[in-house]
Amino acid sequence: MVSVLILGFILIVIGFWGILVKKNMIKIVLGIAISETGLQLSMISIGYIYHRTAPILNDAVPRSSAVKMVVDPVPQALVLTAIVIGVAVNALLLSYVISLYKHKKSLNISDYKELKW
Amino acid sequence: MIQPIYIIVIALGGAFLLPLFGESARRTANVLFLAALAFIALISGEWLYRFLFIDDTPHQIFTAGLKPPLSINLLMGKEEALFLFPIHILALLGGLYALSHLDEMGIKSKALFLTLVLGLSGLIMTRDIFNLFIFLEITSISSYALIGMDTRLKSLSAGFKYAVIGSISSTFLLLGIIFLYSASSTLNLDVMISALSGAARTPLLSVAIFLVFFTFFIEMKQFPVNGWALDVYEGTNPGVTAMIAAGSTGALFFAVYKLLPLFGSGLMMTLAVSGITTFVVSNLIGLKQRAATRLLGYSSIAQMGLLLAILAIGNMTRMDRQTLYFIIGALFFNHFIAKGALYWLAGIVGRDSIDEWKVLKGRTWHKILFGLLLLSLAGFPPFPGFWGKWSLVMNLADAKMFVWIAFILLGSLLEVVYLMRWFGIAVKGDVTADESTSEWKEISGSYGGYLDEDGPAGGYSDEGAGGGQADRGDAAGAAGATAERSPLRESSAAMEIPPWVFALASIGLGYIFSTKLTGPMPAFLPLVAAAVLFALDWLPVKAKGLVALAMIAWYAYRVIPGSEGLPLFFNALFLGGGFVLLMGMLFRTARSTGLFPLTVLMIGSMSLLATTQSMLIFFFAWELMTVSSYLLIIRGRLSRNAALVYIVFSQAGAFSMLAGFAAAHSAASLAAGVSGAAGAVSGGAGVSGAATASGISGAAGISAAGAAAGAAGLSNPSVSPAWALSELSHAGIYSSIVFILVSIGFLIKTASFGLHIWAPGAYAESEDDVSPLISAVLSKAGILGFLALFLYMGLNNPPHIGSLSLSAVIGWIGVLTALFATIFAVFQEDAKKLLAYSSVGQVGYIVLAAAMMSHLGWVAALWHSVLHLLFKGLLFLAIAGVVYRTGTRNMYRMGGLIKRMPFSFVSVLIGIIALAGVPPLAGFGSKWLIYEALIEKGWYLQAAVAFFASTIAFLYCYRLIHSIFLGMPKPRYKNIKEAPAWLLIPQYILVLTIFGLSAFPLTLLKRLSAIVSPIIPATLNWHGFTAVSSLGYWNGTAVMIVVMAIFIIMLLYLLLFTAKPQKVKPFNIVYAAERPESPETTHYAYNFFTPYGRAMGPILKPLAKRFWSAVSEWSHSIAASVRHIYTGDGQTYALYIFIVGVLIYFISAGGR
Repeated sequence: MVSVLILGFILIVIGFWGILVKKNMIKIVLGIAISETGLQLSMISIGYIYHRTAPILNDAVPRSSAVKMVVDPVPQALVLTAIVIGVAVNALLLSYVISLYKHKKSLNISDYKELKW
Repeated sequence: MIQPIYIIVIALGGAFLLPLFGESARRTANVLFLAALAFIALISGEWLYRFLFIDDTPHQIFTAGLKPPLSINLLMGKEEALFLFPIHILALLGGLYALSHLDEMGIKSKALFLTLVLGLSGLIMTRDIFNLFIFLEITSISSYALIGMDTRLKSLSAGFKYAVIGSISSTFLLLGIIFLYSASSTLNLDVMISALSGAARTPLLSVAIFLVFFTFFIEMKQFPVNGWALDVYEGTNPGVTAMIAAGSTGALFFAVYKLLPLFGSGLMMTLAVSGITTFVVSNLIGLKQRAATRLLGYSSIAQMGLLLAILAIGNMTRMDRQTLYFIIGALFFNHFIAKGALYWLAGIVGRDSIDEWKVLKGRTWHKILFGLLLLSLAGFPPFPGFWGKWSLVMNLADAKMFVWIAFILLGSLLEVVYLMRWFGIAVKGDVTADESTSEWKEISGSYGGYLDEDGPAGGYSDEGAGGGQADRGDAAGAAGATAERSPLRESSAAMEIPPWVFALASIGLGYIFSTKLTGPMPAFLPLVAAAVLFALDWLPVKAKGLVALAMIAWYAYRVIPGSEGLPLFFNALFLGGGFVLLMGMLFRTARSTGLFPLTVLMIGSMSLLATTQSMLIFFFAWELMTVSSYLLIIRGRLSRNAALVYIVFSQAGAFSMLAGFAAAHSAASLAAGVSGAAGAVSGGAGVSGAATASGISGAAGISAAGAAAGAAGLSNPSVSPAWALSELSHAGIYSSIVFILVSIGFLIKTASFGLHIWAPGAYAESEDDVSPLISAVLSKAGILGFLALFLYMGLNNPPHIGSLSLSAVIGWIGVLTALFATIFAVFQEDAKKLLAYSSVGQVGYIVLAAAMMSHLGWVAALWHSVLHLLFKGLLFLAIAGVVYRTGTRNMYRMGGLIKRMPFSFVSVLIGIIALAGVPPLAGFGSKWLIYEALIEKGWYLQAAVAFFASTIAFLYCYRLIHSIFLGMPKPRYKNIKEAPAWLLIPQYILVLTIFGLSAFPLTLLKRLSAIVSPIIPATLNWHGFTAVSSLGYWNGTAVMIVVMAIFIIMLLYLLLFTAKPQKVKPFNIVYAAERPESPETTHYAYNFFTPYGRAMGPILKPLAKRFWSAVSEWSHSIAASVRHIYTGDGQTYALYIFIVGVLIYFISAGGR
């Protein structure tokens, strides 16, 4: 699972790189989305334990021995929440981009510097 | 008790329910919306009540009926309730305020408002770190959405930057949380902290902790990763900003407080340093900011930096919990209230640039509200911030953190500059640079370039040209101002009420916080008196004045009989002088809202200054005096810049004094700790439970200090048991620095050499009937300070630096002030400026006399204090009458007024004779005493300088009477009337007093000697009517008799034996070839002393002015360059985050 963790980190870095380098606001939002994905991957990898199964109680996983058979369910719950929040934020960010575009017909973030100093 | 979970239930339920109402049912929806907010506030209010008064055991809430770590848990404790309730009140009032804005944006915005409240409540209550993340996100997302629903460009671009930065920081937070989880296998904060406290810090763990830390570093808007926040503050609708600036920041601050144990000691230092840096830098940049909401943003960020720093420092130094809570509570709620309400007010005013806030002109209520809020934000008494700052500084001093104190005070001073500048603009409107004759223009808004160097004789603009006497009557005359009102934004009662509620709450809280420090205190009496007078504003102006007089008389009757020694002297001086000079104000006919309350407040606080026995109340009274006199000065027509310079200098002095007090306090508590009396003294300023309960531990500390002072050989029965500054006598190793710092405060108040540049403007530009009070009475507060300081620090063993005696330095400063101010006075064209400089010079003599620390010197100082009050009050009042009638202050425009205004002429004549120190009037006594004392002390050089200065004083005395009253009357003033009776009455009271004192000087002199002799053994004796010193004697009575006899003989001779005089008309003179056309050609008054000016050229350069201009210019230039880091580009802001994050990580090495 270390590979997933590393992949996650790489995605985070790529996302951050996008935020810092791309001038196009949609690409910046995509950068945020990519880094969030990377973050979610690394979160899952933290809770993973080798040779264990998904934390779902069913016939294969009896209630009594579940603790020894499943991976840690908490990070998975967290990831679900994080995904939801991420989606909400991304949607908001994109709608911001649309509204901003309506004002200036530009997607370049450097064009929106009225407020400064 | 309603379960706290209902806070979340109601907010969430309301948010879901509201969108069901269509726009058609808006009214119902609004009711529901406000009801939800009110109910939420009710719940937290009920809990707060329970924790404060019934039972303070915290209440745990576990969701799903399980214990942590399996469930999510919320905590409702005292601290939570203390933060929740104000935030909910803010939300309720803010919801009410923003209702019209929310209506515009549609019903969903109200749902968002409720989710914002939900997020904030959750942030405060949750004990689960992941939930912290959730609630942070709820807060952020609803903020982004609220900002984004407002589709103005600036709102959108600010919101976008905010959302980008917020997303980055939430990535950090989540990453940190998941690593923390893997290290501690719990998400419950309490379990996690205890699990990690013993654990070794692996690199992964420290990165995790750092990530969480850094998220809040960004969210708390630390320098320099706060550009986004400034944009949000500036761009968003003020109703929403109030929620973000006060509410969100408060909840986030509480979250940081909860997480603090997790961060560990390494990050504490980082937090403290970054907090202070943010505080100072933001306040510095604020100097350059002209956009109102952004300026508030800078101030907001600064305050949060300070609070974070205090939190960190408190943890580092293991500050007593109660004390830490007191300081944070006072400063936090001070800021919370002021900032929330100021944003609301900004919304009502609806102007972007602070320069446009002049629309407040003529709107008395808005001005008062604005003033209250700004003063509160700037930390003036009686607001909570004042008590918090005092306690903070004292506790930092105990921890020997003097550098931190210096930075905090520097930052606070910068804040005072921009806040008060803004206030000046709002209340006074436009005062162009050349219209005002302020001494320090740079600071007041005209940047760049030097002060136009009007040498003292340089051309002043003809400000009086068109100004007849009509418009001079009352600058505050509301009638004139109302006409030029321009409309504010439409504002309803729903918008007007919330800021007022907050402003009044701030005053109430100020009182509550003060009682924790001092016990129930009579120190609020002047404030109460002012409030009562203010409530009587509907009375006619004369009636108000009489009430004010009655109040002072009653107060004097209460205070004076019980006091003795120096307190008696100063009380009599302040109350008596104030009473007489206040009578002059009765001549007014305009409404003059606020004049009498402020005057009574100033006089009352000065009396408090003279009476109090505690250093804290001394400082309180000092600040109260400063702020009331500032507000009095700013009432003047053109006084905007002068008042600003005054308040900036005064605050600089007050902060210097505070630093001195702090150093002394630290030394004193050290000493007390050694001698085993620790409880008494350190409890004085601390807020230990015992201090609160008994409320008299301050007094205990003082009596202990007094006893110690007695033991040290400073027995002073005349000031029993101890006067305000007695704690200074324990300064020990810090005595030199304490002496210097405290002296600076008093040197500024006495307008001493180099620090004087506020005085001419303040004395001259305040209203004509206020100037006498400011100049004659207020400046004596500095003298009081010096005497108190010398009493405890100078008499036996004056502090030295090397072999340089500091009291001698003060003496030299005094005499140089006398010299230079006198010289400058000579070259003034403006009568009030002439008197102002003269006043500065005369107070210089008093400082010189006091600094001698001999019996004779002190008697001279007291005597001259009385005399200066008499003759300077007299002169200012007389000039007030003249200016009132002529409508100009320029002396060369007057002339020949002796016939038209004979009573004023006599007043001025008596005034200048007393001032010049010519027998037979009592001014001679001053000179006699000062020179005797100087020679006795062996300060010959100083005596020579003082003598030289007093000779020069003749020049301006002559100028005053010559230019105004003698010579040809100008046709313009041919039919001018004598000054109003109410101005003349106090003048003649003063004249009679001067004559009384001149004829029977010993009545007063003996008493003054009796005041001083218990402190310093007497060297002045009496034989009948003669005062005898070791060097000579003075019999004022005999001199008076002789002079009067000669005068009467001469008069009789002239009347009886000279030929009948012939009356001549002004132009009844014939020259060889021409006759003068106008009086100006025969009455030479402009640029009167040019030859002397040429002779003295080099020393007339306004060096002090130039120095302070340069200081101001430099600080503004630095601010101008620093603020360019906030480029406005969201990407740059993101870049800062990464750079700063990496830097801080390596500097703090991940918190190890």
